[in-house]
Amino acid sequence: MGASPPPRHEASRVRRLLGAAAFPALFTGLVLGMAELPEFGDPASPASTHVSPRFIEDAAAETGAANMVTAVLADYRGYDTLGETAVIFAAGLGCLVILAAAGGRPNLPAAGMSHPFGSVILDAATRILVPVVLLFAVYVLIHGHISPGGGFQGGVLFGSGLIMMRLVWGPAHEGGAHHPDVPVFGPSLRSSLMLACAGILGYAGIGLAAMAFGGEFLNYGTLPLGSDPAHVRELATLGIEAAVFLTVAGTVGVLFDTISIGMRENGVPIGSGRGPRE
Amino acid sequence: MVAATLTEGIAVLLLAAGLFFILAAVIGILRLPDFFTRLHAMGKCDTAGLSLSLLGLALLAGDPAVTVKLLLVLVLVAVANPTATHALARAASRAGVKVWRPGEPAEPAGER
Repeated sequence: MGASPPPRHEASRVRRLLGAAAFPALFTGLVLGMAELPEFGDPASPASTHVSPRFIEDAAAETGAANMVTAVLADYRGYDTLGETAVIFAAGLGCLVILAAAGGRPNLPAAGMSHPFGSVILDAATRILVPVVLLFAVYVLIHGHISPGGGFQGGVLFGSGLIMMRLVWGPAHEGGAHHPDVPVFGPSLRSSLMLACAGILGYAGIGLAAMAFGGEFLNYGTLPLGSDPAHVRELATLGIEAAVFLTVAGTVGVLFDTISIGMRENGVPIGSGRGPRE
Repeated sequence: MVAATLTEGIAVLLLAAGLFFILAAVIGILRLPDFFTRLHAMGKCDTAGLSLSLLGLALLAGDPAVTVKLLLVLVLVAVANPTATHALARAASRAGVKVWRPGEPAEPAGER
C-alpha cells in the first residue's frame, strides 16, 4: 500500500507515552496478583471446597441441565457468558469497522469471494454437506443440555456451513442484481450482522425479562414459563444458548465477509483463478 | 460364540487393511516427488484407510447408537475427503504450483 502514514501530533505522542508507562504498571500488578492465587488444581482452594461440590450436587436438580458445563455457563454464570458473547460480537464489529470502513465504503458491499470456485464436484459435495452441517449445528445447540455442545459450538458449526457456501458458490448479493450462474444462498453481510445483533439483544432481553418479572438480571427462576422451577430454568437456558448461537454464527459470517472484502479490495486474487503462474 | 468370533475376525481384518492404506498414505507423503503426487497418495489412501478402519470399528462397537454414529462419520469422510483433495489440487493447479516431470529432482516434503 502506498498511502503515507498520517502525521503524528503532540496528543498522540503524549498518549503513547502514557500507554508505555501504564503497561509495565499494569503488568506488574497483574503478575503480583497472580502470585496470590491458589495453586492450579489445589484441592484445598475455595473453588474446590465450596463451588465445585455445590455445582456437582445441585446443578441437575436446580437447572434441569444434565450437562453441568451448560448449567454453569448459561445459568449460574450467565453474566460471565453475556460478557463473552459481547466480546465475540465486538470482535465482529471491530473487524467490520476496520476492514470495511478502510475501503472508504459507507454502505455494506456485496460480500463473499470475488468469484465462485466453479467446480462441479465441489458444487455437488457442498449441496450434500451444507444442509447436514447446518442441521448438525442446530443439534449441537439443542443437545447442549445433555452432551458437550451448546450455543458457541453450534454457532461456529453453523458459521462454517455459511463459509463453505461462500467459498464454493461465491458472493451473496444484496438485492436482485447478481451473476446468473451463482446460486444466492446464505445471509448477506447485512443479514449476518442482524443475526449477531439479534443474538446479543436476545441474551440481554432474557436477562431483562427476568428482572421485569421480579427477579434479578439473568436469574431466570421468575420467568412465567411453567410451575416447575428447574424446567423454567431449562427453557431459559435454551433461550440463552440460542442467543449465543445467533451471535456466534452471525459474527463468523461478518468476519469471513469483511475479510474477503478486504482481500478483494487489496487485489488479492483469492478464488479468482488469476494466481501467479511460474 | 462362533458368530461373535467371526465378527471380531472380520473387524480385525478390516482394521488391518485400513492401517495398511494409512501406512501407504504416509509413505506416499514422505516419498513422492511433488505436491500433486503427494496429494494423490493422501487423498486415495486416507479415504480408503479411514473408511476400512471405521467399518471395522463399527463392527466392534457393541452399542447400536455408536455403530450408527461411526457409519455417519464414514459417509462424511467418503464425501468430504475426496472433495477436499479435489479442491486442494484445483487450487494448486490454478495458483501455478509446479508439476514434477520424470527426471527432475523431487521437491522435499514440507518445502515449496
